[in-house]
Amino acid sequence: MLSSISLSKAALSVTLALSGLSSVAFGLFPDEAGRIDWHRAQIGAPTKLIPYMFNATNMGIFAITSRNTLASLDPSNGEIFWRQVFDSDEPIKALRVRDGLVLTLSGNSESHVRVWDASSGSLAWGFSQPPDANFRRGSGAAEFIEGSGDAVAVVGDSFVRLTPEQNTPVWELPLNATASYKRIVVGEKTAFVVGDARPTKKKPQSRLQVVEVDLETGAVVQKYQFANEQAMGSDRLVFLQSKEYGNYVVWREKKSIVWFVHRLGMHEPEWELYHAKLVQVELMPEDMLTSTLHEVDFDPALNQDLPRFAMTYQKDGKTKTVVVEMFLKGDSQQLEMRKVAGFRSDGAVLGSCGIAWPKGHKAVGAHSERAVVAVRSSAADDVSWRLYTDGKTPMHMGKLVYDRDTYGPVVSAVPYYVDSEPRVLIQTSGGLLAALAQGSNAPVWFRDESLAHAADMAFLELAAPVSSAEYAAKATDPSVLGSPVTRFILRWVETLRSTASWVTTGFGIFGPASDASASGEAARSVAEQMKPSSPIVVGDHFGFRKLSILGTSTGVVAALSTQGGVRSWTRFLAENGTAVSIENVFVTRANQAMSSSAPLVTVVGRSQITGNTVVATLNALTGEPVDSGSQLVVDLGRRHAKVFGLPAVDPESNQQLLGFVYHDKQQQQQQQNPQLGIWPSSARAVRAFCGISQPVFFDLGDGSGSTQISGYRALCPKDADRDAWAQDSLLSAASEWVFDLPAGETLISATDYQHGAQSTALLGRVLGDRSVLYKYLNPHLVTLATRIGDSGGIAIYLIDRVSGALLYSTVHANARVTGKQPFLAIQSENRVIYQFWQEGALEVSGAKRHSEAVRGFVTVVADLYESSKPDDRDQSRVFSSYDLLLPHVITSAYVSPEPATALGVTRTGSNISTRDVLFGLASNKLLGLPDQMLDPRRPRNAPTKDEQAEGLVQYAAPLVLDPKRVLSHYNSVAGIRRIASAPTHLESTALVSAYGLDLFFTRTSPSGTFDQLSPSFSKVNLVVTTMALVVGCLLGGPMVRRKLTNQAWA
Amino acid sequence: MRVLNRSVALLLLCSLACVVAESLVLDTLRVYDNLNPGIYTQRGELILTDPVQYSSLAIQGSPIVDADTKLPEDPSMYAVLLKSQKTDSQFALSLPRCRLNGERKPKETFVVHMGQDDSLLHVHYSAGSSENCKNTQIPVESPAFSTSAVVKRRVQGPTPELAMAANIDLSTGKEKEPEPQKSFLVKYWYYIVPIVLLLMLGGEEPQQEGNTRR
Repeated sequence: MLSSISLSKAALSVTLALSGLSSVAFGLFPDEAGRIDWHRAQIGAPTKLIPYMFNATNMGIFAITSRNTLASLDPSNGEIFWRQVFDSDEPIKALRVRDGLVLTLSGNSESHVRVWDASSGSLAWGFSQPPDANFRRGSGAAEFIEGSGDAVAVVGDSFVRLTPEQNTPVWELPLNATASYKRIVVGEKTAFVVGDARPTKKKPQSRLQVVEVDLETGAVVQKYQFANEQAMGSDRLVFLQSKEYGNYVVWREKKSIVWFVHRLGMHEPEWELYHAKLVQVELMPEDMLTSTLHEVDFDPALNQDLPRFAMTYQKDGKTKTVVVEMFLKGDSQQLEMRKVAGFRSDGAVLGSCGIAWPKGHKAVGAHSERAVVAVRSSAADDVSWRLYTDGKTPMHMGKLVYDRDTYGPVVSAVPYYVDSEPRVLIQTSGGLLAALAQGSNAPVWFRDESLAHAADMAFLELAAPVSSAEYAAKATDPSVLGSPVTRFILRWVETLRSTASWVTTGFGIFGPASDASASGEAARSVAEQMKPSSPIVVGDHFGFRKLSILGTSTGVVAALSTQGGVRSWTRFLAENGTAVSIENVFVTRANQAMSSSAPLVTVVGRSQITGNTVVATLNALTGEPVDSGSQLVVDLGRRHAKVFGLPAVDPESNQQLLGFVYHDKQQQQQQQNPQLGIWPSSARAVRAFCGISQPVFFDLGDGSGSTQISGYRALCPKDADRDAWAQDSLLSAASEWVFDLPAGETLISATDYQHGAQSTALLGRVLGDRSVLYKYLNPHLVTLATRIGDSGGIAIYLIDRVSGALLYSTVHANARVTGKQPFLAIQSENRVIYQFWQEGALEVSGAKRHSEAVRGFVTVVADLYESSKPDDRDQSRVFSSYDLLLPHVITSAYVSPEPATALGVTRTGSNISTRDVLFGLASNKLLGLPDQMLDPRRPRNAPTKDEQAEGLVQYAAPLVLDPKRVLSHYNSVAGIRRIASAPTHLESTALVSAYGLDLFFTRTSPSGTFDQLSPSFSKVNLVVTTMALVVGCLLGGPMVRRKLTNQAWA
Repeated sequence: MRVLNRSVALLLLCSLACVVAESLVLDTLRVYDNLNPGIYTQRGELILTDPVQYSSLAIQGSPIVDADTKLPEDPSMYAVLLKSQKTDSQFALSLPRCRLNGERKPKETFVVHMGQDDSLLHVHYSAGSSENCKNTQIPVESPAFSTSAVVKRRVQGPTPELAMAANIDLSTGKEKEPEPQKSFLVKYWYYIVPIVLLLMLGGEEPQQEGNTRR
C-alpha cells in the first residue's frame, strides 16, 4: 500500500515536472522569433570602395557611402565587419587605407580628420577644424604620409599636417581661399595641393592651381597655375603617381587632339602625347576629340610601380579602351608611354584594382593585382565582365544574370582577389552591391542597399487568410468568384487545407506553417535571394501582416512583408536609364476583399534629368505596372512644390486623386497664385474633384528658410472647361490668407499635413472628480517653428491651415537649432510634442530655486483643450476653422537624456489604447515612452487623490530612458529619420517601423495585450481540461441519476 | 493777462495729454474690407492701446491702391486687410461671406497677437457664424459690425523644472537649513529593537543530550 502511494506520488511528481518543463518550452515562443521584430543593418550606396588587406591574413572592403557611413565588409560574404555612421550633415569626402589604418575626411563647414583601426573600426585618433569664414565649399582632401603615421589634409581654408602624438596640427598653412583644393599628392619631401583656381578678371578661364608645401616645415615652396580650361574631376584629366618616376598630371583640352603631360613642381608641360602613340592606331581628329581618361590606380599614393591610366576613345562607331603605362626607356633614360592592354568597351563600366599591397603582401597568387575590369550589358537581364591585365585577351571573365527592372543598371565596378581568385564588385544605380566570380551566373554574395535611401513609406492592408483561396482563384480567373457555390467550395477547401496544416505542424505547438520567413530567406540560394519571393497577397487574422511599401531616392520601390521583412516585390523606376528620385508613396486604392480590382500604389518623384515631377502607378500586390501598354514613369512636365492626397476618387480607375501644387519662380516673381494639378487627370476626375462638398485648401511657404506662409483654396473650372479638360490642364487657386513671420524670424520647419482628421475615441479627458476637460481637436492644425534672428531662440506657432488663424505662440529664448541639434516636432490629436537644444541657465522665480542650469535637449509637450474649465465645451455642432475658438494650452518641459533623430506616435484602430510616443535616438535605439510620462498635467507636488485617480504621476524633469521601453532591444538601428505606425485589427496593438539608414520593424501594445490571449496560454491544457470535464460528466451522470432514483424510492 | 496765462497752461496741458496718449498707443491698424467683392475700402481703425479699441469710419473710405500683399480675391470670401501705421506690416484674413448672411449686426472679433516686447505678431479675425451659411438670405450690404478686440501675448515657453521647493521659515522669511540626515539605526530603531529582542528571548531551549523523540 505504502509503495503504491509512493508510486502514485512519484507519477504525480513526474507529471508535474513534465508539465513544468512543457511550460518552459512554451515560454520560448519559437514562432515569434524573428517575426515580431526584424532589423536590416545597412550602409547605403557606396561612393568609394577599396578592397584592402589590412593585415597579413585579413582583407576588408572599405566603403564610404552617400548615407555618411564608413564601413568594412567581409569580402567573402558581404557581411558588415564594422561600420561608423557619421552625422547627417557630415558627408565623407575622402577615404584612404594604409598599414592597418583608415583615414577619413568629413564635414562641410566644420572639417573632421579621423583615423580608424582597420580591423575593429575603433577611432585611433582625430582632429576637428571649426567652421572657417573663408571656407570654400567643395574643398577637402586627405592623405597619409608614407612611413610616418602622420596625415596631411585640406580642412576649412587650411592645409595641415596632423600627427597622432598631439592634438594640434604640426603646422598649419592658410590657403587664402584662392582655389577649391581637392587633391593632395604626397612626394618624398614636399606635398602638392591641387585644386580649381578661382577665376579672376585677369584669368577668367578655369585653371588648376598647385601649392607645393614642405612637409617638414609647412612652408610654401612654390605656387603656380597650369592646364587651361581644366577642372578637377574632368574626364579629360588624370593624375599619375609613382615613387620612382615622380608625380604627373595628364590632360587634354576640350578642342585639342594633343595630350599634355605635366610633372608636378614644373611650371610648364613636360611633353606632349599623341593618340597614335598611345593606341597604336591612326585616328581621325573627330575620333581623337572623343577620348576620355580614367584613373587605374585608385590609391595612387601607394604605387611603387609604373603608373598607369586608361583611355577610352571612339573609332568607327565603336568604343575602345587602352591601358597606358609610363616607363623609363632604357637607352635614353627618358620617360615614355606605352600601351599595355586594349579592348572593346562599348557601353561598358570600367573599374580597376590598382592596389599596391602593404609591405610583405604584395604578391597575391599568380595574378597581377593591377587589373582593369569592363562590365557591360550583354542582354536584357544580364551583364558580362572581363578582367584585363595586359594584351587583348581578358584574363578572367564572367556573367551575372539579374533583373534590371529590380536593381537598375551597373554604375561602377571594382575587381579584387580572394585567395588568388578574382572577384568583381559591382554596384547598380538601384543600390545593389554584388560580388561576382568566374563560372557562375549568380553572385557570390550581394547586399541590397537601396532601402538605406528610403524617402517615404506606406502600409498596405492585406486580405484575411480565410479568403486566400478566393484570392488565389482571383489571381488566375476572377470570373470563378461570381458563383456563390464556387466561393463556398473554395472557402471549405481553404479551411480543410489550413486544418491539415495545423495538424501536421503539431497543433500549432511546434510552430505554425508560415510563408517565407527570415530563416527561410537565409536557406535560399544567393540567386534565389536576389529574385523577390512570390508576391505576398494574404495577411493574417489580426492584421499583423501587411506590406510596407518604401520608395527610395535611388529609384527603387519595394514592398516588404511586416512579418520577417520578406521582400514581396521590387521595382526600379528610371527615366531614360536614369533613376528617378522618389519622394512620396501613396496607397491610392486600398485592398478590398470582395473587389476584383487590385490595390494600387502611386509613387511621386522627380526626374534627375529634367527635375520635373514624375508619377508611376503600380499594382500594390505585385509591383507590376497597372497599364502595361503605356509608359510606367510619366513625366508631368512641371515641377511640383507640394503633393497631397485629395478626398476624392477617380471614377474611371477608382483610385484616390492626388493634388500637385505648382508654383514656379516666374509665378512667384509675378505674385501669381499657384495652380493645382490632379492625378489621374481627366474630365471625369475633375468632375469628381468638383463634386467634393468641402473646398480643398492648401498652403505654400512652409519650407525651411521661408518668411511667409500663404493659404489657398482650389477653384473648380466652369462646366465647359471641365468637359474640355486635358491631361495637362490645371485648376486655379484663390488666395485666402497670408501669414508673415515677424521681422527677423525664418521658418525652421512645419509639421506634416495630417491627411484628414485622425480618429479619436475620447473627445475629452476625464478628471479625477469625473468632470471632463474637452480636447481641442482641429484637423487643420499645423505647428511652425521659427528661428529668431541672430540672437538665437526659437518661436513656436500653432496655426490653422484653412483660416490662417494664429491659435497659440510661445518663445524659447535659450533654444539653439543647428544641423547637429535639430528641431523635431510631431502632432497627435490635441497634443504637440517638440524637441530642441537649450543653452544655459534659466531665471530663478518665486519660491523655487534651480539646482543646476538646464543645458541639454529639452522635450516640450503642449496639450490643447477647448477651455481651461472642466465641462466647458464649445456648443457649435460643427467645427469651423473660422470660428473664434482659441485653445487653452497646458505645457510642460522635460529633459531628454539623449537627442532624438525622429519622433513618432503609435496608432491603433480606434485610438482607444493609450499611445506611446516613439523616439528614434541618436544612440541607435527606438524608444517608446508611454503617453502619461509626457503628460503636461503631471503635478509638481505629490499627486492628490483626484490626480491619482486620473493616473497622473508626480512631475520629474528628466525623462527616464527605461531599457524595458527600448523597442529595438539589442538591435542597433542606425540613422533613424522617420517613424511610421499603422493599426492592426487588435485595438491593443500597433505596428511600428523606423527607417533611415537601417530598417527596423516591430509591434507594440502600449496598454498591454488586453484583447488577446497571452502567448503562454496553453490551448492544449484548455482542450484537455474541457475533455476531462466532459468525461467526468459522462461518468458521473449515470451515478447521479441512479442516486436520485434511489432517493425517490427511499 | 491772467486769462492768457490760463489759456497757455491749458494748451500745454492738452499738448502733454496728447503726447502721453500718443505714447500709450502702440500702433494703429487701418482696417480695409471687401464688402463689395474685388474692392477693398477702409472701414475703420484698430488702435492698439490697453484695451484695444476699434473705431469705424463714418464715411466709407476710398479703395486701397497701394497694398503690398496680394489680397484675397475669392468673391465668395469676406476679407479684411489690416495695415500697420507703425511698421507697414499687413495682415490679410478672410472667411466665407455666407457667415454674415442675414445679420444686420454680426459679431466680429479681432485677436491681436503681441510679442513680449509689444511688437505686433499677427491678427486673427472672426466674424458671423457658420450656422448662417445654412441661411440663404444674402448678406446685408453694409452691416454694422459689433466689434470686439482682445490681445494675446506671446509667452515664454516652459523649461524643465530641475528645482527643489525651498523650505522657508515663516517666522524669519529665510530659507531653513536642511535637517541633517539621520542614520539607519536612528530612523528605524523601533522596528529593529523588538525583532532583536524576539530573536534573543524567543529561541528554543537546547535539547538535552541523550533525549529521544517519540
